[in-house]
Amino acid sequence: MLSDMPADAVKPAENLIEVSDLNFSHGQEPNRQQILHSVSMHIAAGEVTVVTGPSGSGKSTLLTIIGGLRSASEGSVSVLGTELINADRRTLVRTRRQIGFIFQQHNLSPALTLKQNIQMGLQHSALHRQPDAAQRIRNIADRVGLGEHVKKYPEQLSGGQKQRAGIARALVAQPKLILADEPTASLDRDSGAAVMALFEELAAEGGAVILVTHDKRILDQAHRVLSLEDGRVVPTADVLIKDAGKAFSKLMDAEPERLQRLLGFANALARVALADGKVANEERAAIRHALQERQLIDQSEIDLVVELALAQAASWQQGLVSEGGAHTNGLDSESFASALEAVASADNTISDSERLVIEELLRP
Amino acid sequence: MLKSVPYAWKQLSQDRLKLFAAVLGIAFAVVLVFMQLGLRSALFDSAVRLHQGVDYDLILLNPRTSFLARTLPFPRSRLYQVASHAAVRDVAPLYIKSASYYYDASADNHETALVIGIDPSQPHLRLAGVAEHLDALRTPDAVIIDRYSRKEFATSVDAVLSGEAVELQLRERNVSVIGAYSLGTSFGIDGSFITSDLNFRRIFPGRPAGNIDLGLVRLKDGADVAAVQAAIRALIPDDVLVLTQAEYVAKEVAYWNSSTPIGYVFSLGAVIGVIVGLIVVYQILFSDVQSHLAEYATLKAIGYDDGFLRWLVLRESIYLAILGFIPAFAFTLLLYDQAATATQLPMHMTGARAVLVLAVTIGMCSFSGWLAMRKLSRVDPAEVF
Repeated sequence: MLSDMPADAVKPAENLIEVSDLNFSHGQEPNRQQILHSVSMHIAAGEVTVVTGPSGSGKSTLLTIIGGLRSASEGSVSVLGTELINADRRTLVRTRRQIGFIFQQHNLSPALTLKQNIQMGLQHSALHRQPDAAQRIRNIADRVGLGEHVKKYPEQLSGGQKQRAGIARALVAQPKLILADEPTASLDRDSGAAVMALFEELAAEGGAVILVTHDKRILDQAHRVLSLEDGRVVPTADVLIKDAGKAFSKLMDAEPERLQRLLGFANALARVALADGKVANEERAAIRHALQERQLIDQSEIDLVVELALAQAASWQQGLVSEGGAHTNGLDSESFASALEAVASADNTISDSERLVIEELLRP
Repeated sequence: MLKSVPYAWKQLSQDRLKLFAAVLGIAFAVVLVFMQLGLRSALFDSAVRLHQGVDYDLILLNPRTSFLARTLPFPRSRLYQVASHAAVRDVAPLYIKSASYYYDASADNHETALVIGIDPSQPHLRLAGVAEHLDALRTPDAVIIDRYSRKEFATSVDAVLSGEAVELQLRERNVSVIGAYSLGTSFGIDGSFITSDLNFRRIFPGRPAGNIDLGLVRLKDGADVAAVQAAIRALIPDDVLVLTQAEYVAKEVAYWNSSTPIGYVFSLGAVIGVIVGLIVVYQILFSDVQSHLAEYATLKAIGYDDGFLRWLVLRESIYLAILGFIPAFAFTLLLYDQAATATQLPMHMTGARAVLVLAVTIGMCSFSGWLAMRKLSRVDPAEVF
């Protein structure tokens, strides 16, 4: 399945998080409401994991339980080697201190300067007592591009700068685990990409990052995607197909010709991506980049095409539908060929099977 | 090592206008407490000025005497009985009674003054201005006036101090004011005169000659005051109280504190000041905590425990206490000065009172902080997501 496909380049090491058969309910009988149903997952060092799902699906609850912000009583939740089920308050606080939290609204203190806000992420740590603590704060501020702004207050910063400051606060104590809630929601495309690059760096250094997000741009950069619906883990491919299906229906009614063109294009990209039998992470990202850089279609259409392409690929993989032809009328053929090659070469090489698919698609 | 972030101060000082209003509120409460304590202290200090301005080791008085201005007489013979004790160096009577003081003989305006009669040959009074007039007081109808009497006595005082001859009427007796001494007023005494025992009898002719109001007893050097007090109590009947100076002072203070509403009113005023302060600080801190709940939830989420948050609020309350105390202290000094000038009461700041009120202010703010902290335990770090 697409959601469970490990990244080719990442070799999962130790599991930093192991969740097994987790159930969580709110309230008392008879108004008791079960939020999570038998959720199981594991996240290894070096992974960027995206938890996605509609509002109320339980993704934030799952994040708060993993983060030691809420205590569950059924199942098993092991975070950084500590079992959190039925854990006492002290254990939860100790666990929280080992995690870097990033919030959607950055949650900086308006009374503190940027430097002081970052320092608050370090102050409860033993690192704060070390001689290089001040240097550590300067370094992390530089790393998120805020080195010149450390004396400013949050109100003097832009939305993107505030979010990066929140990230700096989360990273300053060098946590092995980062939990982020919609970290790119308030950011423009470039700022969001910069934030994701930071997370990838952290993962590359052996940490793990869990993101809760609705931002589909992030899915391409995740090593693992966990989809939740009504508190249950569902295959991500199913979600993609469903989302794409909805968009498909709407467009079919409103602009059938445009849909036909986009579908053909998605089809072509999906076929190239799946030519070697699986869709690699790099290929997913390459599809989006190819569409953005070559401006083959409108920006507003990119997300839909990516979803359609991934849904197509997932469907083919699961044998739900047979591979169809590409209808690419109206596209600049040179750009189209270039895009296909970009997707094929996302894993740094164009295999024979990929070459054959591209030739077939480009055949007049 | 990196200094900790001064979170409490930064949070408190973020909104300067709010902080100013908070400090003003606390300062108001502190001034209220200072004034009530100052007035209460002035009540007691002024009431015992004469008690402490006379030289004696033991004092004899009528057991039914309630306070200085209502001193009741007892037989002078008790004083002579005491004088026979081997440890007694000397004894002296003191005559005390209130009299109407007519400062304008042509009008009916009069005030009540305390008249103190002393034996000029036995200088037990240590009040400034008394010793130099002892001989002159032997002159018939000669009196000296308290220069710190209330303003109603000012005409006479000013005239005496400028060297004029002052004649006035005490009860129905015309007297000459030949000088001034320093005592001061109290809540029971607006002004006073000192004269000789013979002149005292002239002013109060109806008094039995064998009665005195207070008996001053000085002991020989090295005498054990408590032992002599016990011996004298055994020597004379119990129609006379034998008290040390400290006991006499305590008796007077107890009267004003317990038997009159004045002491109670000032104590209550101080308590009300503290309650006002508690409410003001609680309102400030509660609203502060309320407005920072999301911030506190974030702090809890990133690893700070309830103890950190409680200490944060407690520090804010201590900062508020100190910030409120400083201007209140300065303003109180001004008010004390104004009140002392206007009333001639001993309104002055003491180190002990300053420390006491600072401690009360910190305690008051800390208690309010503690009340406001209860909100903290309901901060749910999970709400940040």
